[in-house]
Amino acid sequence: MKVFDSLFWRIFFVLWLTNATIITSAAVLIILDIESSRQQLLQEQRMERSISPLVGLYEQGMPIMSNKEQNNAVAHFSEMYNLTKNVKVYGNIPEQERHKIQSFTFTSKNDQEYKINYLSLPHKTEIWVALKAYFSPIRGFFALLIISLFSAALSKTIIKPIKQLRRHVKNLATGEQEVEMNQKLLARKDEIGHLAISIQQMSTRINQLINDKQNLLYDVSHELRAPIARMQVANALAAQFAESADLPQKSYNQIDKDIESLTKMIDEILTLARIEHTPDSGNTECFSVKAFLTEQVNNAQVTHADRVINLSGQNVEITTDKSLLQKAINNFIANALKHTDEKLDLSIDSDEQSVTITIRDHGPGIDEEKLKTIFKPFARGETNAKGFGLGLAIAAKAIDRIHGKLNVQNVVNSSDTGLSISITLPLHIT
Amino acid sequence: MAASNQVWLIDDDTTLTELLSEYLEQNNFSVRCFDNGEPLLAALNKDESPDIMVLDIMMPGLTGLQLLPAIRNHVDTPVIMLTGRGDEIDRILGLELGADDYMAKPCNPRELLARIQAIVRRYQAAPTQSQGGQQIDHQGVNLDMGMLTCSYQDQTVDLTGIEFSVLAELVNNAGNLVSKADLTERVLHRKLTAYDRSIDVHVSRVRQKLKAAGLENDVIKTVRGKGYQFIK
Repeated sequence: MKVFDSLFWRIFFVLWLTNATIITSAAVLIILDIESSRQQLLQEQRMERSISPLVGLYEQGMPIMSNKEQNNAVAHFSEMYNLTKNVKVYGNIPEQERHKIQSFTFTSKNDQEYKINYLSLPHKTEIWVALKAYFSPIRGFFALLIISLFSAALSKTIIKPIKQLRRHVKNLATGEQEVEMNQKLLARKDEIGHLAISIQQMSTRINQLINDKQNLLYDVSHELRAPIARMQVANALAAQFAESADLPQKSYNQIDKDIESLTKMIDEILTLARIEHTPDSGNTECFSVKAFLTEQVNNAQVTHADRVINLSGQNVEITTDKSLLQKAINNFIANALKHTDEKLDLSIDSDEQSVTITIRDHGPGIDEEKLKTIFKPFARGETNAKGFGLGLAIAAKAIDRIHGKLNVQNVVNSSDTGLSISITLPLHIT
Repeated sequence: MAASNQVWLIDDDTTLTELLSEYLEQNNFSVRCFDNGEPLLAALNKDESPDIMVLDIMMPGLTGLQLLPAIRNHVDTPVIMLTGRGDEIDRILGLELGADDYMAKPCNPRELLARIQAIVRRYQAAPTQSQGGQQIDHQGVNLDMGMLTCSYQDQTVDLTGIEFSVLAELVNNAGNLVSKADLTERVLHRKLTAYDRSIDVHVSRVRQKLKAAGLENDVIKTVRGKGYQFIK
């Protein structure tokens, strides 16, 4: 059952059951004890009642015979003393039974004090009868209510810090935002406090590692630019010498091409790092989505004049970081143009809160397996494709920075295939 | 052939400037290198000036962006900026501060050479004789194609060479749309690539300068995503 998956309810139920069992058992024992004393009292009262006429007679001189025929009330396992005169009146309990003796005293009408020793008559205490006699639904209800409250409170004190820790770790896992650890948790001296401190240390370390990784990538790329710039000039010089000496140039051209690739890759790494790194600039502006997309389409057609790119949908105004959105849209369009030969369809859909921009190509689509990783840096659709797999990572990161949601899926229907990338953006960043 | 054109390279990476000067010298330029802004300003103060400067933005001490206005105060020499890759802000700032063109570093030296040659050619197309050449007049904007000067209602509008070329192209085609691609090719002598905003920045500076000279209507119309048109 779902409820038992939750630690809270499990602890709650264990506590509840334990408490309920203890209280019920205690209640039953107490009730039985009370009932037994009551039975005993009743018995003694009965004995006193039946013996008092005999005591009256005894005080006038008649002996009391301790036989059953004469006196049903005075069992043969009993004896009576006159405490005032300090004499035994009758009876004799055998020695081996004496440890079971119970006794009571009473005073006769003539102010004589008597003590009766007797062996308890076996009596049956009916548990259910007894419980019925003592059980009150209201008391039961309050008992259970108090148990429930107590269990809930105890469970909560255990679960609440765990939940707080969980929230912290979850944020750490999704990398959404860095959250400060609750100071109360850290101040705890118990195991949960220790756990909180460990988690905090872990999160500091993870953040440090992530930062280091990004910084390293950024720094390395940055530092690579100077030697690459020199290499490029040196290669051009060498190529020129080769040309003037009428030597073959093929290898120089290859070096040149590779330098271009390196440069592009560095560009992309730096762009990605910059998007990841720069804090929210708050550099937002309000603009119309349709005009903006028209501009991007025109930009794309500068280099792909032969391709058909359609744009449809109602215009809507959006307030967001234009340059980030532009980067993302450009990369998506460029990616679609690179990987497919058919037309491209861009469409705008909006509701009151958000706008969805869809970029749909009519190519073969992407393997469902690879669909999950296309936004990861250096993931490539096809192994022989050009590019370094950073374009989509940059786009995804940019969309993430402007609080957009990405949805990518293959379109498969009878007449057509393709890939559809949808970007859903809030119309206003709050 | 006339004396070779002089290029000044301003970059703190001296190994790179040495290589570049060797490359440019191979291609008939004479080159002088500066590894920071101070000696450059000193040279400018002595009224020395080259045919073109290649200015790196990322330099210790005075950065390229700080030097650019100082250079502009002295001379109209065309300037090509070398910017860090991806630093779009730097590019646009540079163009707005009066640079003629920019290149992202690391850059292909052949392309740098081509741009240097293109810009030098354009500047030298300006005959230095003192009498004016062909006059073009539109909307009160007067262009002297000989002196490469521009004026609005007898007030001189101080345009850089590239800005003058942009305006001349638009005025020569007044009433017609000039696409960004054509404008880039004719003015900057290179192909328009996607997201290249150089021409937009140059046009915007021409607009600002005309407006500062008192031209109230915006005579240069932007056709979104297509190009620009000088109103007839």
